[in-house]
Amino acid sequence: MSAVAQQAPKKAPTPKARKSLNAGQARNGLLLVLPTLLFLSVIILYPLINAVVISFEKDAGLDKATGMFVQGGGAGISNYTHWLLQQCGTESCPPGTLGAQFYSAFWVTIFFTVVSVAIETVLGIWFAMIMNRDFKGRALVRAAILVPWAIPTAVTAKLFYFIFAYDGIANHLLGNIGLGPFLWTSDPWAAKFAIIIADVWKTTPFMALLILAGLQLIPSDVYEAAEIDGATKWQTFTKITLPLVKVPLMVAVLFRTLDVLRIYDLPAILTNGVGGTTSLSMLVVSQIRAGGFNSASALSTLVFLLIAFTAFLFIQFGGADVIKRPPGAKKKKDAAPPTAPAATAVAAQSGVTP
Amino acid sequence: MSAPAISWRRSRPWALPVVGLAVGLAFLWPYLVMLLDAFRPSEDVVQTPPSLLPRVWKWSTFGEVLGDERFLAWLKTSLLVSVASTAIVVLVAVPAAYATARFRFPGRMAFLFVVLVTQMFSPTSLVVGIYREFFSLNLVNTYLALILTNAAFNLAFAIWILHGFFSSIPVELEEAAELDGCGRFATLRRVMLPLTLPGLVTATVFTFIAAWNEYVVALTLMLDDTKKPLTVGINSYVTGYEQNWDQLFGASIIAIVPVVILFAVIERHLVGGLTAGSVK
Repeated sequence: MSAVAQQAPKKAPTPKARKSLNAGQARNGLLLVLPTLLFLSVIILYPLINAVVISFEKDAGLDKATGMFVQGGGAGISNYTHWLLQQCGTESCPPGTLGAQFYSAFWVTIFFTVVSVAIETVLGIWFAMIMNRDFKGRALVRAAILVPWAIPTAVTAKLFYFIFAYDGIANHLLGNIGLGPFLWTSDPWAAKFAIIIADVWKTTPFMALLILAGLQLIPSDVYEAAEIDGATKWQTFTKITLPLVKVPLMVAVLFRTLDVLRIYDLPAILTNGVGGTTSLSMLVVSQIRAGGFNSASALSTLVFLLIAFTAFLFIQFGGADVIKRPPGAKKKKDAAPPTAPAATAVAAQSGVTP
Repeated sequence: MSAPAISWRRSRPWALPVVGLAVGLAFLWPYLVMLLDAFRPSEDVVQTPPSLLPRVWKWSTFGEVLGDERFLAWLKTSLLVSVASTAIVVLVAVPAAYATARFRFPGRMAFLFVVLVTQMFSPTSLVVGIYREFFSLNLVNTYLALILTNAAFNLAFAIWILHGFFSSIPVELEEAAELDGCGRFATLRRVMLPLTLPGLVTATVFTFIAAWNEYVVALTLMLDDTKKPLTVGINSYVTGYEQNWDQLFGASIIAIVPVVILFAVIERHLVGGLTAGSVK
């Protein structure tokens, strides 16, 4: 699949040592991933390739010359230039058409992604640290924090639609402390933040729970050692906790980022694109509804490229060692974080994360 | 120690709980709104200006929803689909994640990337292809189609998260088990799986919730009203013809219950320090 997968073989670590020990690993490994591959190729890869193929075809429709309904035929890259170069037919798209909204949708999607993921990460780490302590009613708190994620997005969006109505509860509460009223669903900035607030409310639990699971892997003796060495709480957090939950944290951030880049339900129900809040996925759906299925496929392929590029950046520069860590790197201490002696090494080493 | 540090130290005992309480309330009050909306007639929900407390209390909502045969049918679909797809995901993802974390084989990284690629396409752009595919397999409007799709959508996350957990377990533990006479499979079952329980719990909970919340595919694939899952079904409480906001929110609250039960049952496995002192 495009850029990312082609990069993969190049990036693969090639430690070919100890062949005898690793004999059979290749066969076993392939055998174990086979079910996944079969599954994904049938259910997802096929429709995915299908979508890419039709993005290079013309929309079916009435032929202007004959008045007959015709299947599209090849379109080259015209579906792509429609979005990227804003070309509708031979001229540039007039303002207000779906094609002309591409760049605004692009930037607002990026804006949603950066702001929501940043807030969710900070809150998520904080919640996870709280939930990781031993206290009475911990199970209850953990379950309560999880619940927003268990509410269907469609319902969350409706709920926040009422909350953010002009004379809704949000304005009512803010009015009590002398703020507002805000036009939450139409003012450009208020509408963006209404969506971000709803998204943060819904998905911080996702982050928190993943980080919580990651925290379980940190052995307590590392903390004891840090305490004996006189580390402050902040040092303990930045030099031990953060580096040691880095892998699950990066997976969570990566998947959240991919998720927000595809955001649809929330803005669709909450603001319906008013105030420049049309996300890329909303544009795809509007285009499908307008009958332009092939150009919609082109747009979703563009969204895919954007997401693939983001994922590539993440893996390359962010939590790279999610994958890079050589499997079965025996006796190489810094490759296995949660062993007590190695932990300090890892902590010291990843103090400056790229 | 500098002055700000001292004053922080003094204010800390009350400042942190206050901030925590504020954030906690901010997170909890939408539930409260939802619960209160379930206890008032639908007209009161949309009436302006809105009131926090119901102007008219209505206690029968939950009884109405639970007595609704359609609701029970949707609930059954959601439970069946979520449980089955979660089971498939765990069964398929554990071997794959273990293999990528422990074995060297050609295409290991390409595999992880391909898995990730499946998460990069918006479901809205896949759904037409999925519908065509299941149509040609004669599986439209069957639970199987929904189960398979949900399982496929969530495999990527499960594999990635489990991969992370498997690779963070010291290899020495496995070697020790092998020396003690455990085979590969026994090592996986007796050493690795118990140690990655936090990861397994996470993958299970997330897959279940994602399947429980899935909307677009179910909307497209399930044509019979009785075979729809909750997410799609509850929308018929509020349509252009009838508006039962109270029932929509009541049904949503009931829909949270299974998730909370599942989480309460397996939450205790989210405990840490399992590998503490395991390798000296």
